[in-house]
Amino acid sequence: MSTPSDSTAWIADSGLFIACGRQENTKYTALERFATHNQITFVVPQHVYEELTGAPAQSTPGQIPIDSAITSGWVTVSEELDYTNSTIATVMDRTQSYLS
Amino acid sequence: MSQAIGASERAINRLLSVAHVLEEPRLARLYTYILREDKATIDTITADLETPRTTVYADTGTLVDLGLLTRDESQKTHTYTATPIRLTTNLDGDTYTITPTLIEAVGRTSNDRDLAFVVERYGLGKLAAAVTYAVLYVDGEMTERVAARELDLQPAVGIAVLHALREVIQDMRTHDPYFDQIRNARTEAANRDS
Repeated sequence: MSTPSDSTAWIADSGLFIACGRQENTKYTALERFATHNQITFVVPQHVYEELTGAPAQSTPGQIPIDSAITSGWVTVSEELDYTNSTIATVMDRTQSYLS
Repeated sequence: MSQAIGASERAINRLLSVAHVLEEPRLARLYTYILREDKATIDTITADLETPRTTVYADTGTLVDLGLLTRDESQKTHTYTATPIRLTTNLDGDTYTITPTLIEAVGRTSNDRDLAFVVERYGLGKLAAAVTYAVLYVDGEMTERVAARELDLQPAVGIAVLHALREVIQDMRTHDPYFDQIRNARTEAANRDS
């Protein structure tokens, strides 16, 4: 089996981390394992990071160890997405259309 | 006349019963468990809810006394059935119909940190409102982010609450006979805007 190459995946919404972090947290561990095994770095825009770290500590998003994920290297924080970029705008439009 | 008095008594007693259950997540959880199962015995409740038998005896007794459970004593092993709840409150034209779906949401606050957080921080009314938005979210008529904003919750908290309520809605849609009477959040928003 060949080793996958380093790559990045953009996560434009905090919903993925929240869904993975709810309750027993096994999905979050699986997400981390998936990222490290496949040498993928998840890139989150600043607002996603702020939403997660700004949540009260008693809630799921407030307990997601996003800072330790950043320290471990499988998550990194970027500048905000440029929605005037046609590729980004197209992906976001398709995602919203899929969700609706 | 006596019939009218009986109806008034019944209405007030039911109001108090529902209020009692809304304050006690353990009772709420037991009530909706039996509603979903149709019939349950002390043994099945003890095993499925992983609750001490003594507690199950006490709680089923309480719910029977509140008129929310019926105990069938015709067989050696007693069985319990749940009476579906439908309670409509009307305050100066603002109405909300409490149904077993809200009771289920309350029951889950005992082991769901996000639902517990909402009730602790904002009160039961916020949870009830969130249920109405969760119906739209689960039906694909509103995104979780828009619903979180309408509920005036911190975005990440709102999303987590809607994720929690998605499971409630999916479970109760087939078990709550009054599910269709849950207030529609769109109506609520329209009333607020008018």
